Amino acid sequence: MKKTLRITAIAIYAVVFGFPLYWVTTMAIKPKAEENPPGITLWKPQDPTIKNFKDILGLSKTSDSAFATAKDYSALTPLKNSFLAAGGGTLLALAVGVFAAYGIARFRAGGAQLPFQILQLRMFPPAAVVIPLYFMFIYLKLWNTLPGLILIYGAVTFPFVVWLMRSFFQDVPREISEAAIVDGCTQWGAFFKAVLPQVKGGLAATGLFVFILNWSDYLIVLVMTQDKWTTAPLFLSTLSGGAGGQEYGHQAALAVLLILPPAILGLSIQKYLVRGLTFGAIKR
Amino acid sequence: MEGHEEDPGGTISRRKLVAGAAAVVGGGALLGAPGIASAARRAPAVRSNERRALRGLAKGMYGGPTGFQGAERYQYPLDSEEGRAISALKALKKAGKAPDTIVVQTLDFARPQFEKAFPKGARSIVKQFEKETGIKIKFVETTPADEYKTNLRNASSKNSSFDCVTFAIEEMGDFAEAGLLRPLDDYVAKYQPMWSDPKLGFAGGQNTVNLFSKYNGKTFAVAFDNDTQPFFYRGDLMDDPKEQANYSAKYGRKLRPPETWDEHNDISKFFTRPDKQLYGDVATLAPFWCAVNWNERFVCSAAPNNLYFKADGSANVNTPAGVQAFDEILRSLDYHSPGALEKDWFAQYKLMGAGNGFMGPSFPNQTKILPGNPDLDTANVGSSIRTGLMPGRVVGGKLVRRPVIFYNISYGVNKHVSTNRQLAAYLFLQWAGSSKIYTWLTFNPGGYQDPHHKVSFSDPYVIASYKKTTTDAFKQIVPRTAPPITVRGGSEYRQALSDTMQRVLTKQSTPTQAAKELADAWDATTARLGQAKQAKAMKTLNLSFPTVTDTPT
Amino acid sequence: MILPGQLLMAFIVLFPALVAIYIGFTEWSPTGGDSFWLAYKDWHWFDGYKEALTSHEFWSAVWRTVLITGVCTFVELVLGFTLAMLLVKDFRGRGLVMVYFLLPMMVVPAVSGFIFQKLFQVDGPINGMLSLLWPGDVALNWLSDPSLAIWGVMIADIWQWTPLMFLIFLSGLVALPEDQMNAARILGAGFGPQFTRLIIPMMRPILLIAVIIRAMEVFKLFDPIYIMTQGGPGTATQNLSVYFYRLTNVSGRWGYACAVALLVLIALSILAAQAIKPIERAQNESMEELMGAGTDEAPVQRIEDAIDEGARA
Repeated sequence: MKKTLRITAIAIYAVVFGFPLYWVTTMAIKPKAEENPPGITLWKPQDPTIKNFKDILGLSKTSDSAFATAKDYSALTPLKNSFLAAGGGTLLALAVGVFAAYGIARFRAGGAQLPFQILQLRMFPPAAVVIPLYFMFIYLKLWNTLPGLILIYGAVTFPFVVWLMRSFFQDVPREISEAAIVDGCTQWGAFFKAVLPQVKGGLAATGLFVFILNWSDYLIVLVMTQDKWTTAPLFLSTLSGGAGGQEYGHQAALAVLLILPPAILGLSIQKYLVRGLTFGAIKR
Repeated sequence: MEGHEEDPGGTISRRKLVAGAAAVVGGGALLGAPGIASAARRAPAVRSNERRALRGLAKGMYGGPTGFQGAERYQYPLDSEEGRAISALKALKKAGKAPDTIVVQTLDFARPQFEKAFPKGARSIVKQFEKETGIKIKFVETTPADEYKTNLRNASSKNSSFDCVTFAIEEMGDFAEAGLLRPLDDYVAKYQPMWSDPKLGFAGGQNTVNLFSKYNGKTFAVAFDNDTQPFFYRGDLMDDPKEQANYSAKYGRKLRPPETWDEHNDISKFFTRPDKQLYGDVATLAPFWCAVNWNERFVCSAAPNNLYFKADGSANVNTPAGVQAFDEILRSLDYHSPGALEKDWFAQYKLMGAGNGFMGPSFPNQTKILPGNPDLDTANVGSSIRTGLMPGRVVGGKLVRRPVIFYNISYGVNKHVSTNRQLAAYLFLQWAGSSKIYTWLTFNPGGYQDPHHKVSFSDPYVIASYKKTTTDAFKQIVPRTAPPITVRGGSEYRQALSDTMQRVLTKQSTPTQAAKELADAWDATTARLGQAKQAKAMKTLNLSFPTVTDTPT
Repeated sequence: MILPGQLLMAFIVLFPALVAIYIGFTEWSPTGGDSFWLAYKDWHWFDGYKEALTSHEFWSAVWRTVLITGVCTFVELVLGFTLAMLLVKDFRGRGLVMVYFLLPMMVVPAVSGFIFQKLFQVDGPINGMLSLLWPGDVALNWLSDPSLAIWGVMIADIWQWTPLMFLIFLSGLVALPEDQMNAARILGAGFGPQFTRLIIPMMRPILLIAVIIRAMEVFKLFDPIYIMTQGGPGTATQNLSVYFYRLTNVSGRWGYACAVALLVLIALSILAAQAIKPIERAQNESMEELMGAGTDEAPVQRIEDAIDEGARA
């Protein structure tokens, strides 16, 4: 009895939480005619097609209509931009953040307040700070460029790297680096040869985490790019809108493509998820 | 279109487009258009000229498109607005001062008209330009949702990465004052575009030029759209004898396209039949897109016009007319389909195409892109849609009808690029926005930039594309067109109006409260931007209001 | 070692902060035609700050942000905790079920905004489903009715982030000291006393951290709201992030926007300094230490209390 109740409850949760994803996945494989039937006749695609995905990936050249915008649906460039910017930003954040984290964890570098200041950065609403940043980027000629995007993504996710990596470094016994130094390593040598291998898993997890964060950005590209360096989440929202009409199928296909990388990466670091999502506070 | 493989799974593609083009040509023939099928009956000299136009330029012509039937209509001699632009560009190029590429900011939905070749055999507009001048055109795309804020940022940072700026007419004051747009008067004087020419100019003559191109007495824009709102209705239902009889029995009046907003109310009510999924009123009520509906009900409340601002610059909207406009729109909700507050203009087209809507104001290209469009004309009623004039009000025995321009696309020249780039950018705009080239551009089905040149409305291709009902209606519409608020702060005034309307429609404010709220919001904006300065610009704006009134019937 | 990091921080903090402070004292707008360094021409000291503090729109954005933060965090907490309790006992295929429940969290927020914007259309699937449960056609204006729209955006956030709460709590629950739970069970403590006397106190530090982290993120919420409603209808879903965005991008009042932004940043700094403490503390502790910190009582005392409570019941 109790077991049935439990299973029923789980099933209800499963249906409610699964539905939006079910809807977007099926919408992605529906032909245009089935896109927006009124009411509930949208449970099952009647005539599934991969055309939406082909359009989004730039594999088909024809347009649906001679009348309307005859838009090019290919999201290849935005997807490529997303990968480059998110990937580059991740590398930058890691390169800078890992050293800072080690310095803070091992040597209390920068004083006791530094970690707080770093984390505070993550608490501010980006909408409030993005305008002055925009000025700076224009004058540095970084606006609407890949280096600019990488720089800002790196800066925005840097606090995250510091906090997460700090918690990993704290798990490494001090004796390991001390032993390495006794064996003749320099401080740097000890870091690279003895400490870093100990946090390999954590480093990879941190990197994937930061990549997901950067990949998910919407607001920064909204302000910091135009046309050429538009990333996929922004492209998704411009695919709809007043002028082009609703493009449920194409949007849904792009949405699915956008969900895939974080889903795969996220599940591959499932072990570190809690730790990552709590800034290293909960070590599971 | 050229060389694209046909997708076997795709519903329509090149074949359909070519068929569409053929229909356009055929349509032209049906209308007895000169220069198409009727050419055979004409004099041999003319015919040989046309044949030559198919292959190359007609005699005495300096440039223009070739390769399709009727191309000679879009060719031009050296001494023309197009010819002057091209020859100046050639001279610039020869002097080594012309840029290799002109970077044009454009809206996503406008771009295909420049880049897609139409009709069959023609080059695209940009390819034609490249062929004539050797200068390439590159586009940076933006969208209606982003264009204003993008350019706000461009202005603040003096962004010089593009040459031509695209913006909506309501934003002209903002971007002129922001120093993003270069005043074009010296160029206009030198290269003489024929915008106000009685034959080749804009449909409303100088008045339309003032409206489309000028802010505070200076020229800042080259007009590339005509989004004056026509009024569409379902002709098949309007003419149905049974409907006619029922309506007369109920209201004691003949059923006809509404002349006044009161009549509009009755007819909307009459045709609202939720059980049959038919709704009387399809006016767009979604945020942003709703604003113009209020303007149209407001401006006609006085003869010849009820102005947005008083002479001292304060808002003129906390008045019975302002309240009435809010009140009517609120009441019209009963005649709208469910979810009307979410429906933008595209949803409105869909609604009309699905046969669920009866009438409402909209953009001019409804009859261009809806009929026969498999995505829109789902109930196959597109060919029954007819175009008329905005309803109005009877004031002192005169009937005042005021269609209002909304989100009209213009291009300007970026002040922050080098002088040579500025000149080249302007000359491209003069050429592409000219009576010949722009007419050719507008009947291209690829985008949504609509015609405003006098000659366009009698061009067979344009008529075939937009349908005669619309091109005829425009001859009536243009002289009665009222402007939106185009002074500095235009976007903010529009946003305040849209926000206020949404509060009324969602019953957060009563119409009386709303009129006061709107007046307060507008006054706050005006005060912040400088009341005296604003009042001066508004005075110029007020000069572009129409004076034509009608006699009620 | 930390120098590159400090440089990067200075890069994105220092200049923008200075610009914001400067422009915040002016009524500068890009439509005025002056470059921003000439903003002093429109100098007006604290007028922007005063205006913000007396502005109805500002305060309604503040309270709306607080409301959204409170409701979303609370509902996510309750749902997440329940789900974690349901799944804490191991069974065949639990790994897969967990993956399934974690999926919403992986969705790009902009995409979740897109999905819910479509689901909430008047003729969309959610109304379609409700029509099955209720008699007649349900035609709720989810996103255009001001009293519903705010629930619409909150539902989207709850859908996406309940999995986070679930995941955090589950990892806490499975780390509960087995022996204490067993002892309590053997000695006859029922589920209720076990829950209130053992589970909750031991989970408290974890609950606190989860709430802080979620509240921090919901406070900044932008993407889904902007995509679903742009803060509308009217201002019905306008939280602080959307309010900033509209100030800068619709009305072009950048001077005022900077003043408002600084006000919020100052308030947040004070809050943030408090909020970070539990996270900082937890980082230095293992899971066991963390869970033991929830109560001062000795384990034995806790178990006895639980049994007493069970006996009374």
